Amino acid sequence: MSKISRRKLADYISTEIINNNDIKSCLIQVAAYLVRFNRVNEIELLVRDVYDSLQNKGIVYAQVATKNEIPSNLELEIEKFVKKETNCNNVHLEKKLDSSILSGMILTLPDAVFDTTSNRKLHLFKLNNIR
Amino acid sequence: MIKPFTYLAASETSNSGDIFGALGIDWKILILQIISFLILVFILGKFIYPKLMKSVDDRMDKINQATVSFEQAQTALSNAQTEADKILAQARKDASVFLADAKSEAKQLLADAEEKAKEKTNIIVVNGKQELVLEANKLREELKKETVLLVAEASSVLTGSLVDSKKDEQLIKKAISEVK
Repeated sequence: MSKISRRKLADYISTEIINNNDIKSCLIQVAAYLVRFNRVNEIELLVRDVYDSLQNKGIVYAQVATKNEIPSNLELEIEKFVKKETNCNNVHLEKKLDSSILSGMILTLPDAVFDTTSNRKLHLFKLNNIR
Repeated sequence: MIKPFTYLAASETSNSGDIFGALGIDWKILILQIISFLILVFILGKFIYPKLMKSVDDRMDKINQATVSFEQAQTALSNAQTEADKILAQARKDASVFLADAKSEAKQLLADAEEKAKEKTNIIVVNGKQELVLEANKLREELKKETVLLVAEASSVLTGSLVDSKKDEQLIKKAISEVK
């Protein structure tokens, strides 16, 4: 059996997700393939490739981390922002609470991270002022 | 020896009566006296006088030699004195020159030592100043670092306590609009 590229595997998984097929059996197949060909260490990269593939197909999985719960109007605004940044119409926003964040949010997209937290500002302040 | 002849002549003169007799001179005795005188002169000239003259000549030679030697010695002494005076004068001159040189050298050495001491002092002062500046800069940096850390810490504490959910929402909205 010839080696299947990671990109093709990611494309296969993303297609299955978009078509709402049995995603569980799809993932088991891919996992078995990776174990069989001793490519388990590529899982992290494969997940990223799946996100990329989904983004190419118009679906974005974004993760937003904040200190407090995000109100619905702000959520909509963030989705709008993500749509504009990625040129995708279908945005899946995963919300996450992080008590270490002082204020602001960390928005993680498949190919970018928007960190608007005070933690980062303070970190930059420290970096700029302490050599 | 003379006394008996004289006595004899006096006795003969009274008998002859001629001029020699009138004068009290006996020509025989006179001739004898002359002969004995000549013999005496001959003996003296032959044996005594040459030795005496030789002795005198030797003495004269010695005296002359001594005189010459004395004169030579005198001249040598005079020359030596002159030479000594000359050497002494030269030595005095040299000594004064050496002394002047030594004084000049000592002055130069002193000036050099002072110059070196000044340079060393300047170097020490400059190094000290540089070290002080470096130390001050280091302390300033340390202080700045500490201040920054304190400010950051205070800011994080203040932000954590002052920013409520509403304010947080406003901050997120502002950040999104800034990115846009």
